[in-house]
Amino acid sequence: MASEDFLGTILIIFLTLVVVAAMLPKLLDMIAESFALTSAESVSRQLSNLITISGASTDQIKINYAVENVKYDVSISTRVLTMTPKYNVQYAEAKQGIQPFAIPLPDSFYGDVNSFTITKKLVEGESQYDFGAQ
Amino acid sequence: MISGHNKGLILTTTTIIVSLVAIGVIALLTYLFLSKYLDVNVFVKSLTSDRHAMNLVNILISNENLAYIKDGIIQRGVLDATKIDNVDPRMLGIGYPNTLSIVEVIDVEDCKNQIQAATSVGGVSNKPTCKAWIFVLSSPISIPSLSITSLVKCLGENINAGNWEELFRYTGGQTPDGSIGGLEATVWQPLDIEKCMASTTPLGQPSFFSSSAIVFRGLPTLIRYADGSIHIGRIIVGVGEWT
Repeated sequence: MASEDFLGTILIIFLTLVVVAAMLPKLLDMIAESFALTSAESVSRQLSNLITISGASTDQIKINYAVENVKYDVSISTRVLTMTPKYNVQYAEAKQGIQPFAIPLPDSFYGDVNSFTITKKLVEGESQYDFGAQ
Repeated sequence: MISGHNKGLILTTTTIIVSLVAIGVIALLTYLFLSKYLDVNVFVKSLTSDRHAMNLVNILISNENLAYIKDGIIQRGVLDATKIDNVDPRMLGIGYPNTLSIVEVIDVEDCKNQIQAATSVGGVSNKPTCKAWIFVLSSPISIPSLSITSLVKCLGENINAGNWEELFRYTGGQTPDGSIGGLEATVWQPLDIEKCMASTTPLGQPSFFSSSAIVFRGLPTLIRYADGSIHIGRIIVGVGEWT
C-alpha cells in the first residue's frame, strides 16, 4: 500500500513537472509582456523618449500615447518624469518609474491618468512644448 | 504489509525524494524567471546613454537656433554656420538633467581640404586643422554640489591640448567669452575625464564617468555658410550622466 502511494506521489510530481515545463514559458512570456506594457519604468521610459524626440519635429507635432488597464500618478519636475502605477491588485508592487527628458516643460502633476498628449509647435520662430494627461 | 521495523524508513525515503523534487522545481522556476527578468533589464540599462545621445543629435539638427531656415521652414539636417557661430546653449533649452552634453559640429569638407593641402606641402610642419564648433548644452542640475561648470573648467585646465579654454564656450550659468570657430576637432580624443571627477562629483554619487565613459553618437549633416556655400559636415553629441 505504501509503495503504491509512493509511486502515485512520484507520478503526480512527474506529471506536474511536465505540465509546468510546457506551460511555464508561455506564462513567463505573458508576465514579461504585461510588465513591458504597463510597468511604470517601461511606460515612463517610452513617454520620456516621446517627449524628448518631439523636439525633432521641424514644424508642429502632436503625439498621443495611452496605456490600457493601469492608471498612474504622473509628476514632471526639473525635466524628470516620475510615474507611480495605481494597480488594482493589492500584491502588486507600485514601483515608480523615473526618467529624464531633454526639452523644457513646466513642472506639473497629474493624478490617476493613463492617456497622454505631447505637443510641439513653433510660435514666432520659437519652439513651444506642452504636455497633457487624462 | 508494512512492518513496524521499516515503516519509518519508507516515509523518510519518500520525504527525501519529494523534497529533492521540490527543490528542483523551485530551482527551475527561479532559473527561468531570472533568465527572463535579466534579459529585459540588461538590454534596457545598457542603452541609456546611447539613446540619450541619439535623441539629442536628432533634436539639434531640427532646432530653429541651429538649423537653416528657408521660406520659414526649418531645413532638418542643414545647419546654419552663422547661427552656430552665435549659439547660446541656454537659448537652445535642450539637455538632459544632471548630464554633461558636449556638442561638436565638424566641417568634414574643410577637414579634407586642409589635410590635402598639408600633404601637398609636406605635411609635417603644416598640421591640418578642421573647422569645428564645440559647445556644452545647458541643463538643470538637481544633485547637490554637482557643478557641470566646474567639471568643464577642470577639463580645460587639466588637459594640455591647446585651446581648451575656448573649447567650452558656454556652460550652465557662465557668460560667453569668445569665439570657438576653427578649432582642432581632434582635440576631443581621447578625453581623460577621470582626473576631474573626484573634485566635481559629490561623494557617493554614482555616475557613468566612473569608467570614463562619455558616449559619442553623431549624424551626417550639411553646413550652410553665409555666402550660400554648403559643406558636408557631421554633428556629434557626447553624453555623460550622473545617476
